[in-house]
Amino acid sequence: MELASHSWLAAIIHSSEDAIISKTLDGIISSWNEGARRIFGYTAEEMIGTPILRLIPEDRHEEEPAILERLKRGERVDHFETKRITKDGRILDISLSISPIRDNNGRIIGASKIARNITDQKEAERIISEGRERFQKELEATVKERTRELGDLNTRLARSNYELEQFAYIASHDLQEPLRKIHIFSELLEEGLTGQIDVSKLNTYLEKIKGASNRMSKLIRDVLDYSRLSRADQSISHVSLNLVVKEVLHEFELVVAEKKAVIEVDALPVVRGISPQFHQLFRNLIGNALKFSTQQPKIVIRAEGHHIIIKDNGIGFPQEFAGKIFDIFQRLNSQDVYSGSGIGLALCKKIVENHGGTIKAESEPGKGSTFHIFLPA
Amino acid sequence: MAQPLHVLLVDDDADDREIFTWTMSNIYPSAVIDMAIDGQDALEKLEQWEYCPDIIFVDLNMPRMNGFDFLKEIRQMDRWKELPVIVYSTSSNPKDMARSWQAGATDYIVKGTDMASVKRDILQALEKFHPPLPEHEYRK
Repeated sequence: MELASHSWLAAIIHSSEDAIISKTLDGIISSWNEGARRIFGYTAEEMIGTPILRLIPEDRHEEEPAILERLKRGERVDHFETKRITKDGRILDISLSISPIRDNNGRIIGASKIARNITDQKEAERIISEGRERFQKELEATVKERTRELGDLNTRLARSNYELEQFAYIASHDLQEPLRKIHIFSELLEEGLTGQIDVSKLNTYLEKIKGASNRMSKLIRDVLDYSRLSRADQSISHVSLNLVVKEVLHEFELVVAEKKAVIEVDALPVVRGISPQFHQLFRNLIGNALKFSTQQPKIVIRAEGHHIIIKDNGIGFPQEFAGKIFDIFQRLNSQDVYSGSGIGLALCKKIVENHGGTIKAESEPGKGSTFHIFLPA
Repeated sequence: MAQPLHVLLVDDDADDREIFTWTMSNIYPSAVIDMAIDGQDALEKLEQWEYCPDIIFVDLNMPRMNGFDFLKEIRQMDRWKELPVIVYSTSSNPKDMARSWQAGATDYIVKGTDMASVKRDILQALEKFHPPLPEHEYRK
């Protein structure tokens, strides 16, 4: 019976998937099963009587004395994950369980170790963990990208909201103004015609009505120009700013002659952008410089790289308004003296921003104004 | 003899000043109308004058000093704290109204789009806010 159970146990050990190895307390291999051969590639003949260190990669040699120390104290080592080297030099991930072997007197005489090859399992874990990391990174990148897109969208929405508000303001204020005048002065005209007729008075009423309807059509045109700037359907090309300024000055020929304006234009850069928008930009800035003047206008247009400077000798404005003048309908001057829709500079700002640039102004009342346009290189 | 009613209109728009004067000459021929072209001009005139107007109508959107700033300025001065100041603007924007109340407006009138409503609104404001004549409590 004892013999039968002995051969039974031997059969179990022989057919085990895991390597089952025994060694002496000096670390010399004393038994080597078939599983050990399959995993490490060495036969029992090659291994029995040789040091277990053969299986341990050099950088882990210090593991063995520590294991032996624990065994001598009668302790077990369970599921110790480490690396071992095969006959053909492959490094395997191994899970070790080691227990002391005692003789009949209970003295520890060696150790039996079960080594399980967990290389595939480790590889699977590594793939899963790498996959998880990659997924996490991709997820984070996607979230970041979406957040950025949302942020951009938000900014665009806020801007278009702001513009909508401005348009509501046009409807509630600036478009009302000429309409009111037309209505009221027509009534006064009517009243004047039925009473004692003062022709010169009636003529002024008629002039006021015409003036108001002109203001209204200019306002509507400017508002339309402004709203068209939002659309990105205009083609981008290389724009010679010298050519733009030349063409704009041609449009102003009559005013320039009438006011005897002196206009100096230096070399300006060629930029990438929407040509009609640059025409509009310079038309508004040069138009303002000609309009807001009490003396002979002198305008200098020059550039330092992509920084364009437009300086005039006009009426100027207090520096504290420098930020406000680019707001839609921000008028600094009385409509009686300087006509205008209050959209011109808002339009300039939008054009420059459309091209990724910034615009600012500096001035002092009576000392002229200087507009700085910074365009991306 | 009763003092005439003194009205100050602060408006940068010459047409609106003309419409206002025309209206006043119809509904209140005895009133004395003074004009200022913006908040700054109005403040300077108020400082110079020997008397104080009985009621002020002020536009909002004006160069140099707008209506809101004018209101804030005069509400800081003891002698003008209680003076009826009516905002008289083309704007029907609720934000402008809210800002006007905050700045210390006595009332807010949106400028009428026809003569009948212009007359009616100014008359109503005068009846509601100008002090019974003669009186001097707002005088310097």
